[in-house]
Amino acid sequence: MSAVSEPPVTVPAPPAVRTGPQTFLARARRSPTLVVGLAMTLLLLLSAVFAPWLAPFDPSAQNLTGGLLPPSAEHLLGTDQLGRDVLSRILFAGRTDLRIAFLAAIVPFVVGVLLGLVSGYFGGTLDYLIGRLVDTVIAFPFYVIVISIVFAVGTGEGGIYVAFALVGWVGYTRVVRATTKALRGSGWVAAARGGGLSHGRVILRHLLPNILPQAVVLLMTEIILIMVAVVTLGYLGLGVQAPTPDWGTMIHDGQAFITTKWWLSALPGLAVIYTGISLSLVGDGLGDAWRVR
Amino acid sequence: MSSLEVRNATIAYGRSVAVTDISVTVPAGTSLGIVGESGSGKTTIAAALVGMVPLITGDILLDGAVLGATRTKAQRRAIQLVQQDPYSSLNPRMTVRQMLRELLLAHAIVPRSQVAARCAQLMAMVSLDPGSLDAFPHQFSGGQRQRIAIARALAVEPSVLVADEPTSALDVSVQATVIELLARLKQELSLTLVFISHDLAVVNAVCDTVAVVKSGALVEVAPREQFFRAPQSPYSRALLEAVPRLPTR
Repeated sequence: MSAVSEPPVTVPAPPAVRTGPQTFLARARRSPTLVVGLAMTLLLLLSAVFAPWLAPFDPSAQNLTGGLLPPSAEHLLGTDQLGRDVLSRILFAGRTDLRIAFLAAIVPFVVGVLLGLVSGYFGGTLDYLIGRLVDTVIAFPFYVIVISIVFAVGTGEGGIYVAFALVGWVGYTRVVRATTKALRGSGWVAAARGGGLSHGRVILRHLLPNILPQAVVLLMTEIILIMVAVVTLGYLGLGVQAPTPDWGTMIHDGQAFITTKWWLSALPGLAVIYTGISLSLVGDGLGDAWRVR
Repeated sequence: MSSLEVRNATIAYGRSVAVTDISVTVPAGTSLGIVGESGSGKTTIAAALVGMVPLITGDILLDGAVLGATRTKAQRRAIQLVQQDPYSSLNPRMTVRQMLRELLLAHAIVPRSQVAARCAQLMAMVSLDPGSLDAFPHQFSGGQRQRIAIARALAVEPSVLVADEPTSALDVSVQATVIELLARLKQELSLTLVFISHDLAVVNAVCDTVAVVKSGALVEVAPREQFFRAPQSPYSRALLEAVPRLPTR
């Protein structure tokens, strides 16, 4: 033993909790993608919600003597072949298409996420059965199956909801199932089960919040996909029926005058692109803000 | 305080047998160290003790009662695991308070009005600042995370704590504090402790009995003093001789 007494060893205090943008809101504010996306989406939603007040004319009011007018002070985006104000119709069409896209996305989202969670968590026979069901639905080209269902159920809004409820869930199920399978072996899932928590609680309170960011980003993509599909169905005459304005029907109706009155098709097309970009930015931004670093 | 017994247990992953016919008893309030090289089956034994892996043959008994293949909520609560890797054992999307609160309420450990106080008490018990209860796991260091994992295990007031190499993912300086914490908690809470490690010095510091595992089989079970003084099996001797020692000046 040393004759000289050594000074006591002092263990440095552990560092305080790390700081930085730790909450969702803090990270969200720092994401320019999300901020721009939300601003664009807000503008879009406001224009849809307040369309009855913003639109200068009744979107269905015809004026057969004033058809195919170019943009002017009275009709900012001109008129269509029936003399209806194009700006008013674009605003009201946005109301219709966005409502359908958002509503039609809800059922597939809920069903797809739940099936993916259950399939990935429990595995076994249930996983096999759900997997084969997903494979079966995916085997059909998307538009072929959607158009077939709309034909079978009937055109219009109801047919669109049924078609997407039957088809739209597979994307979520595939992604959520794969993520859940990867997370199922995590120590924290084992700890939750070991702590005496039920399977239901582990799935909903532990796994769901961890897969939700991916699912919500996918939801944004799916809303865009549904909106484009609604527009496509409208273009084919299988979607929203006249006289309700819809971007797809407007693109179709303007097609006959594409060489002389190009804006009749181009402007509703631009509205579709604007909506797609807005929701994509929101999806990407949400992904960034939700990611725990 | 509960006794734990493993009786003729064989554990397999599919067709691959990981542990063969092991039997060991841990009297109530004592600690068993399970040592062996990597791949010897230590973690498999830990997983089986907490019910994560089923036994092919044999039984696990808690206070003399056989724990079945499907354990009840109370049985799962009774034996808690502290995992090897503190970086993957905590839910990244839950604050410490949410983790502890959920367990306290799920088992009705304390009345709802006392949950906050109990959470703070659990943090203090593992020498963490109760002020950081609302932080997420990624805001803590590895050692702090392991303390949180210990607090979470203690939240359900288990009678047996299984610690599976709880220090192997930590820095040496932090290892000592976690070991000291486990030893203190064992004393204060009268826990029965199963401590799995390949670090013989750590086992010497914490355990009353040492079990040596090799290739999925038990080669020796002995009281700590006897094991470190006069190991019986050649493998145990080899393990002890393999411990690196600092050169003396």
